[in-house]
Amino acid sequence: MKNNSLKIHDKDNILVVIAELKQGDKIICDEIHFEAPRNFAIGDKLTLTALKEGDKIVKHGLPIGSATCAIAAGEWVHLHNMKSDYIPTYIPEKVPS
Amino acid sequence: MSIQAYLREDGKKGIRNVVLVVALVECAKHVAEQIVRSFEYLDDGREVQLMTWSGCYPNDYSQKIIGNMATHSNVGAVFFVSLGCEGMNRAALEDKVLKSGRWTEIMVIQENGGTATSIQKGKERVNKALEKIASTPRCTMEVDELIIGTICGGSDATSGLTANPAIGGAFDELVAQGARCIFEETGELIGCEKLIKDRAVNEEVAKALVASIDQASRYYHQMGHGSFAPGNAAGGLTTVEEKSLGAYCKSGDGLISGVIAPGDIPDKAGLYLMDVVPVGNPMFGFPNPSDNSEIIEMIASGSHLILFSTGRGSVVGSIVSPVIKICANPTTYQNMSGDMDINAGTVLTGDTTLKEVSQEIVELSLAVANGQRTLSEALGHRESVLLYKGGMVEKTLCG
Repeated sequence: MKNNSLKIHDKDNILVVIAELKQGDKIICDEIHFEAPRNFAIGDKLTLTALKEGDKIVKHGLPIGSATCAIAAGEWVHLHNMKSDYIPTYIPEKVPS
Repeated sequence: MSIQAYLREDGKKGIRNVVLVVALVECAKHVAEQIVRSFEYLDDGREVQLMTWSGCYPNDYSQKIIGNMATHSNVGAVFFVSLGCEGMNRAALEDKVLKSGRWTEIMVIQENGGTATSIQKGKERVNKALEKIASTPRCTMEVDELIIGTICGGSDATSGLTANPAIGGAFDELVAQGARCIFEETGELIGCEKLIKDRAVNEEVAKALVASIDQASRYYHQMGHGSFAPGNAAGGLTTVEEKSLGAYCKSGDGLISGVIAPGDIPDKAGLYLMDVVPVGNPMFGFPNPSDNSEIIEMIASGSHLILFSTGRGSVVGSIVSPVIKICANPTTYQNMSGDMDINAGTVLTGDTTLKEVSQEIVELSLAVANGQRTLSEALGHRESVLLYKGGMVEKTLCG
């Protein structure tokens, strides 16, 4: 089967989903396989490895923020479990879960 | 692979052979346009192109950019069209072009009997210029003599996933082979200050990089332009760092050798950030309100060709240097394939990898340098924009 997720940079610890996926679908990036823990839209991210609170989230080979709690491998990464190291992201509504 | 280039008398090597007709004020544009329109692209690669400066009041920045375009490696001869009373210093421009060894003349419309006679005379003189550049000697050119700029325009969520990182990979390869590569958009590096600092060749360059992003942040704040919008989060992005990195990754992984001002030409191999934001308070509006105002700055800094990343689908090209369009979005590619030189959207459909697209970009860059026309060239795109700007001139710092 074709890849439906993308590891943009060798140093990344997340995958970016590049297809619309339903919960339970297989997430594939070459030899890496996960089961989708939720529905995913294009551009959503999931962890490649388990992360501890405070670990950097690495995309494009560089940190885009850090984990605000422990995140298991294959979990969705978004504003409910990570934050900016630069400036808080302003979201007017409740983050969808 | 060696590139077959054009050798100019000042030693510059070009990949195109252009007669540039420059209208020195909007009032001279119609005459200049009519002159240029009468010439077709010639089979041997010679071409007549139009550059226009719309303003009358003089401006150091625009004077510098026109001077650099007129002495660009891809330009063999220059014909200036002046109304006669405008503020642009045409004598200084003529002097700069003559010193470079290129053929040049100025035609003043007020001294040539007005529109009709000026168009007629202009056509004759441009014919003369075309004859002159027909005998431009050819020479071989290596990758380490190329200058390549990159920009993104009409971006969407796919730009940061496919085309931009693929261009980054191509830049890494080209810099490794000794090319000079230029990226810009300091306004889109906001949030990346700590990251970019670590890529500087030395402490001085690190400071200049951070200062240029700080300046962009101040400038955009005063212009009332925010960066991270709630819609970005709905589209899968989380933080300003993540959003900015999607643009920043066009620069690849390598060390950054310096910060350059528009029109300054880096003199050794490496990767350079072009700081397009004026120092101080906003004076003339947004730093670069259209993609072509940025492209022209990269060409004025010596770029032989431009790598243009687009997701939504831009169609533009440029005068003087060819533009290679790399389409990030597979759906856009399907809709606009006649405008897109490379389909990076194949990464999203799982048909190629980023590394393969990077390689394709490097190979096409060399083919275009060797004379292959890009789609925007073949379609006749010759956009050019030159703006009023201030406070750009003394910012270049190279490590």
